[in-house]
Amino acid sequence: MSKFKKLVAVTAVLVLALSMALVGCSGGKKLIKDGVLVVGSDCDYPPFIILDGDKPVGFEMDLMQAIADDLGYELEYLPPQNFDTLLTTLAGGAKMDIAVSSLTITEDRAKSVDFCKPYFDSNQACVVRGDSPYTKAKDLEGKVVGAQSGTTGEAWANEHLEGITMKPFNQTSEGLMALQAGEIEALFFDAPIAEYHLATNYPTMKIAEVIPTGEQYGFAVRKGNKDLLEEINASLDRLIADGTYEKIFKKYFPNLEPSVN
Amino acid sequence: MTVSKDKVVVSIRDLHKYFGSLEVLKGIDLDVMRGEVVVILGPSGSGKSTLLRCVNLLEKPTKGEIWFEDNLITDPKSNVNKTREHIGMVFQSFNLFPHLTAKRNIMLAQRKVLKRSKEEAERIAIQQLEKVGLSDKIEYLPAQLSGGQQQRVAIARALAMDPHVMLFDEATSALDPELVRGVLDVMRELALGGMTMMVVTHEMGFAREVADRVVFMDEGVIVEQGTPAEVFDNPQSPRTQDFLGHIT
Amino acid sequence: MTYVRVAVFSLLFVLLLGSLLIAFPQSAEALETESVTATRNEDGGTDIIGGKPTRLSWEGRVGNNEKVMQIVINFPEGCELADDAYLFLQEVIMDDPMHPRPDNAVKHEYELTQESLIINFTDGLRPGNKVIIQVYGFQFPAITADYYITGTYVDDKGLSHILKEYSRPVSVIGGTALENFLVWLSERDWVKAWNSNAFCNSFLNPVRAVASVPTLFGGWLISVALVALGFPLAIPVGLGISFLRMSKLWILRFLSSIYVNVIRGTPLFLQIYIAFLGLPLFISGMDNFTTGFIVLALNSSAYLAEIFRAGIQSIHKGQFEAASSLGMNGIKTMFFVIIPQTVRRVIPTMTSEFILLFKDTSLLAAVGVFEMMMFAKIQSNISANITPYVVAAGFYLLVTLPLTRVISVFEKKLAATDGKEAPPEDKKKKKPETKRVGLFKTTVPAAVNQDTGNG
Repeated sequence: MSKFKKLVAVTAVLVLALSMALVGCSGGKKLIKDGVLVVGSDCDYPPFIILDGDKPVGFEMDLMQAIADDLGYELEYLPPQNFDTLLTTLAGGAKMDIAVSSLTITEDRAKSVDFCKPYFDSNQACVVRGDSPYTKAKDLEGKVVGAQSGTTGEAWANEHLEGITMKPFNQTSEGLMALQAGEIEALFFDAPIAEYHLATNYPTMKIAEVIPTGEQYGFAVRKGNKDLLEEINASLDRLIADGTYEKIFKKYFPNLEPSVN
Repeated sequence: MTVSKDKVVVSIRDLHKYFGSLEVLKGIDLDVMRGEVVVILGPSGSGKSTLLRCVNLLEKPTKGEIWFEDNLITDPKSNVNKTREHIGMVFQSFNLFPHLTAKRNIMLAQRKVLKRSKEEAERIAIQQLEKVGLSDKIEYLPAQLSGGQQQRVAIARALAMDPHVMLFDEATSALDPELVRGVLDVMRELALGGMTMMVVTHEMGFAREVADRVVFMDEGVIVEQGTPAEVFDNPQSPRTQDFLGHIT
Repeated sequence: MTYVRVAVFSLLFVLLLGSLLIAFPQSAEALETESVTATRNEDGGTDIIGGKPTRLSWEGRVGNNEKVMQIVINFPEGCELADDAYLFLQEVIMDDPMHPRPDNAVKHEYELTQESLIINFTDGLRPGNKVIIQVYGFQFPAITADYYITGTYVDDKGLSHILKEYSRPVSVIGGTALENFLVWLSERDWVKAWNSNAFCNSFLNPVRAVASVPTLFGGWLISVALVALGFPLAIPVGLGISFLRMSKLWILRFLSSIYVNVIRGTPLFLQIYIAFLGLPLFISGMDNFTTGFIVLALNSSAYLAEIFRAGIQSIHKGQFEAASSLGMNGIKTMFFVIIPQTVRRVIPTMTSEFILLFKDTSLLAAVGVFEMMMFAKIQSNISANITPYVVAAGFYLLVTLPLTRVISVFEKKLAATDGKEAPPEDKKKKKPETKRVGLFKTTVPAAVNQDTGNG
């Protein structure tokens, strides 16, 4: 028994020491590496952020670069990781300064991270196969549908559609393949990304309905990292004021009005 | 005991065997009569084990004919398994089935090959084990038996198939001296009972006592053959003389 | 004749037109309730639990010819608000139905109480726009029931209208024993102290741990079922392939070696993707679970084939010869002599393969099979906490640790019987030596000692 107690005591001390060390190294610092903004992303959201070879490109990438240039930081991209682990990693505090991944600002996510001001207006799309009889999201009730795990699309379908079987995917592109293969009847994901995919890689699919969810994308930083949050917000304001934001926006979305002005 | 020796059981004609480019048997001619005990002697590498293994086709002869009773067993059309049912073989390394008890080792082929009923196979197994003096080891696994006991079970296993001829391939070579006797006793009994036997061995005493004919082989050929008295006491060939002189 | 036909067609046309009018009301004349929902707030579940904060969402569409100046939403009796309850309001501009745009700056004042929510819009909600009203920290009564949300609104002419009830109620369940326990647990002082440490909280939050156990257990059963169906299927397939690998026909050897090398030479993860995205194109109606255990079985069969082949080939040649010399053909030799000996030898490696396969069921989470890893992921995402993964690790160990123990017991047993199987007199002869055999001295090769075939 005393042996057991000793073991418990030693374990407790070890756990505490380790946790102090882990917490200690991430607490309160603005950036993990001085002068470098470490960016995490899923890199699966054309035309916002997508890998071109091993380099992320897209609207968010350009915007992020403009912000980094404005603030005099270097950018460093972490290897792409699954969307559903992104915020957990960011909140963990040891690896990532900022998450850039077409992140919808939600109150729930705001409990674990802080969001910068929005830079893009988005909605959800209910995407079906071209020959599908479904014309609106409600038609999918009771059916097998899919969404990327941890996204607002998944949450929307779960809350609004009765009797669905939700299949979560790691990547939107996997969901699209499953949709094509007939494994699911519809895929719920962000409308601008859906428009891009349908115009390029999946012409055989269609958007059954754009669901006005009024969501907006924002960059996320560690909870309580006020310094970085304010710097980024101020930088965004400057880029909007001097027309850089609009230039980048029009490069990717020539037919849309800039989301913020 | 009257033993009919007039009928040829195994007849070997101009048998050649190559292992790759190495010619191990260089034209063997040999007849074995019913009830005859033929002991094959010779130095290591003389081809005597290969000769024995050719008789039940564990080795495929390269050239030549082997007749077993009225069948030309070297003919590709002949049924190898059918032939082997009637030819018992005892190996140097026993080769008992380690997952089966002594009794079940003996029953297996009776049941699966001869299609004997379970009761009959069991009765014969027990009977054969008694013959080799192991009636108290019926339910033992091979691992629980000594080498000599294992070899006696192996002999019983072969005998249970009612073979027309028994082949012994250095049956006692792997045994410690004190265990050799038990096995030789069983073989002697068998010979006295009239079993046709081809025996490859180094046991000169056994050969002299039990053999009807001694065949001396060297380098893939039969150098000399005759009664034990002829070969042992008055060897004609220098090679035989050398072999016997060397080991005596 | 033609008159009759014309009459029938006219009638049908009128009926069709009528039904179209009923099915598609031309345009919304008044503020229309589009949906009333609440967010799932059950720990690890999919239900809406009463007495626990959730997010109540009311969505509606302003009529085409009106502006909305005030909305009043009445809550059912017994609803409560958490201390930090608040309103989130958004007007969505619907000018372009493909690109609706939010307006976060709607000027408004509101009053939120347990009975109702009253919102006054300074400039009014514009015609045709969508409005999203979300109440955070809203609690339904802890009584299992269907709740309807009612309300009224005032248009720009000052007229009051009744909000149409949404066709579907919010189904609430009145708290579960587990939920009650979790609430109790989260109020303990030691739990609070433990969770105040960031590390302890994220890796082993006691509340999250307990909350995740029921769902993870369900997932664990699925994982076990996957491997319990997949592995037995892999055994005969693997045995068959190991026979093909040893076949006399080169074409069979060739094909089976392709099978084995391709499967063993590519990651299971990749095979899962190919199977899940590819198979439905050819075979319809196969559910994820079935596809899942079939992929596992096929993968494992290649590994088992090699395990069996090695096992069979490790059986000494003497065993084949002994069986042949007794007149047994190849098939009989295999089934009655070789395989029974092989089985004992391959059990430890087979068990290892079973453990690997069991752990590999987690890969199926990536393609949407609801096994333990998937549930752990969902649980972790809900709470942005790693605890569910740690609990899942415990569930995996529940299977793998005892099996690892089984392996070592088997291996010990095997080693022991092997030692025993070498007869005592054989043990002495480990290397070639000249010794007396019978009456003569001769050289006994060491190989004969292993020839007992019991190895």
